[in-house]
Amino acid sequence: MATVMMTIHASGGTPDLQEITKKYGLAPSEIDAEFGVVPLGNDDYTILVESTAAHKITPNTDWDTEGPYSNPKIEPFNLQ
Amino acid sequence: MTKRPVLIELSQSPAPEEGIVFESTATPFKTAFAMAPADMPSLPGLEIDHSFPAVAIPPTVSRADTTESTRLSFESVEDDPHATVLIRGFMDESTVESVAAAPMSAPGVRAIYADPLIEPCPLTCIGSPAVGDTARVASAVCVSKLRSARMTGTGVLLAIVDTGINLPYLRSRGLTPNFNSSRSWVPTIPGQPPLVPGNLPVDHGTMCAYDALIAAPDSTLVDIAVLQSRRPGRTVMEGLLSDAVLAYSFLHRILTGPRRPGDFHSMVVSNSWGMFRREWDFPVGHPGNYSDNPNHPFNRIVGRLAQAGADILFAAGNCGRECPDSRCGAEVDAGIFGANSHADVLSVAGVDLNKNRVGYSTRGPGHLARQKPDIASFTHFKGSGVYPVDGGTSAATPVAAGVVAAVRSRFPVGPTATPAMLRNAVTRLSDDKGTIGFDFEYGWGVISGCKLSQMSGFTSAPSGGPDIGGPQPSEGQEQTSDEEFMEALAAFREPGADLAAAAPDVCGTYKKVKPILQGILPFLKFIPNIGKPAAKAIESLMAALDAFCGTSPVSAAFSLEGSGVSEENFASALSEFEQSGSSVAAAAADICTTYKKVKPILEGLLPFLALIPNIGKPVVAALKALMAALNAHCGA
Repeated sequence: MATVMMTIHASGGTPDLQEITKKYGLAPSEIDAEFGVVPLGNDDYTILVESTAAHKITPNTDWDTEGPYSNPKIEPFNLQ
Repeated sequence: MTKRPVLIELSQSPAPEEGIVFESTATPFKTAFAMAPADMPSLPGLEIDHSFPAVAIPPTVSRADTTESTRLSFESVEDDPHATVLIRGFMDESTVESVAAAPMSAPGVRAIYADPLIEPCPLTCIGSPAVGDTARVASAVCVSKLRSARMTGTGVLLAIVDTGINLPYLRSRGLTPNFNSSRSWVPTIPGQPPLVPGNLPVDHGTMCAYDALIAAPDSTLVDIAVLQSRRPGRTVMEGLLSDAVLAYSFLHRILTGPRRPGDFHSMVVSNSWGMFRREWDFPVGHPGNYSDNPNHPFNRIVGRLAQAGADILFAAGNCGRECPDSRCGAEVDAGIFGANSHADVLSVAGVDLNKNRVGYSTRGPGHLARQKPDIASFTHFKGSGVYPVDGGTSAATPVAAGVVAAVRSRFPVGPTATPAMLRNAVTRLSDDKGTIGFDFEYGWGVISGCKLSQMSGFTSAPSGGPDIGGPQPSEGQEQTSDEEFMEALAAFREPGADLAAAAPDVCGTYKKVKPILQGILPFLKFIPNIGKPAAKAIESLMAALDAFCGTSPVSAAFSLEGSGVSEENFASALSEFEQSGSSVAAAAADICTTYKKVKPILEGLLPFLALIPNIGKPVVAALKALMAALNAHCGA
């Protein structure tokens, strides 16, 4: 299943993964717990979710959100 | 008997009624030259090639004559009575040289020339054999001079973001790398035993580590094994961009986290990977796109790591037009995508050890920052032994990363030695190739460890710190912040800005230009031979202007007459400022006397300044505006 990145703008500190999962009604399989919540600076954070769950991540009174952002394959630039 | 091809020059003879005609069927038109049988050259073993169309050539040129045409001429060579005729033939190998040495012995023969084989210059491509080896790379980047300058990578964390490093393999190749396991990162792959940093399978990442150590043998490697697929059935050497986001977040924590005394002082991050095809991405214009979108989380986190002080290098890619990687698909010469073209990284193209671009190196432009690649570096050599050839822009990038790490070991990152300043030094001190200045094949040129080894610093050291060389700012002279510099520069970015911004009075213009002059002074000192005295000259002019503008400004009619400057005037003006202390003495003089001395220097500097990446053109516009105001004021 394809995954995408979403960003959350939370000025009140790093949002907790459990809090995010609960607030957006995500199933455990829909959010990558190992990826977690990665800070981007300027109170922005990114999470990794299944593409089918991206529509659930929308702005609310506490947080602004943006996305989905692509999560493309990357490969080394060796000779092939 | 072996025959050798020759060209024979003959005197013209009147066309006979019946003669031997030379005509070509190989050309789209027929040319014919008739020669009377009696005029046929009689040379031993000569076989004339009648398929060669016999060419009329201009009269002989004396060796003393210039080969440069000084006039246009539309006269037909055939109509020139002094023209001669060239035919082609074959002569016996055993006698050709002796006969050619004395051609006049055969009537009508003016000369006999060799007709050598010609062929195109070979382009290094994916299947080409290696060009050179590790030793030649070390020589090309001047490892010995870097070492003499105490630039070996000491104190630098060199992160290889790749498939993983195998330390036992590197040791088997005679290397003794420093390694930091606790600052390394490996992904967790479900259903597989935990990966161990430094003990990953021998593959692409090990090659990159080997190549980075060529110029920075004393750096400390960290293993950032991003390219380990977590999807079953996929090849080992791939990953997802989200893996790179995690890795960069990890590196940011290391860089901004606490350090012990004697810990690393700088971080260099080498990335020999990318997104081959945009079909794996959201389309350009989609807000979630990666290739062209600075707001994509990975592009943002790259900028964040650079702002925290990391020197980041990315390979340009292997989708060059001449011989692209098979994975490029339709993306041949489509430019450099995503973070590989980020404004805050060095984007690295590939050249072989003859300094010729390898045919697979992706050309610019960049999709984030347009002027990419930044530099070219060495690849396609016999190196690590992981593969027959250390190739791709994959190898070029860690070679360059090693040079950067070497420089950093002498000039640690800091407020006066930022990653942006290092990028400027690397690009400006590169060996220009391709078209003059920047081009999309070589960037600003081939990385030069030789020139970088001669750096005396980015700027003066902060008080109490080690003296890293470089001139101190004049006492009492305020320094401009990066923000003030860029703000002042913005006024000169539009075409025609030099005219628009030049106020009728000198002081109004000087006020706008002063932050720019202060900002470029550290760069000037990098220009070999002339940089330091040129900087002193500008400092003296600024001192005179500071003193002058303390009084009421004087209006003058605006005029913009520039004049050319000869090398003699430039050198003569510069010599006044080559003595230490000269800037302070000169500043005591009035503004016009000082400007008269400095003007030839400013005019001579303009072409150099124009070459500074990103800021060169507006800097030149600003200087021209100031010179215009001073010309008007001083009647120069």
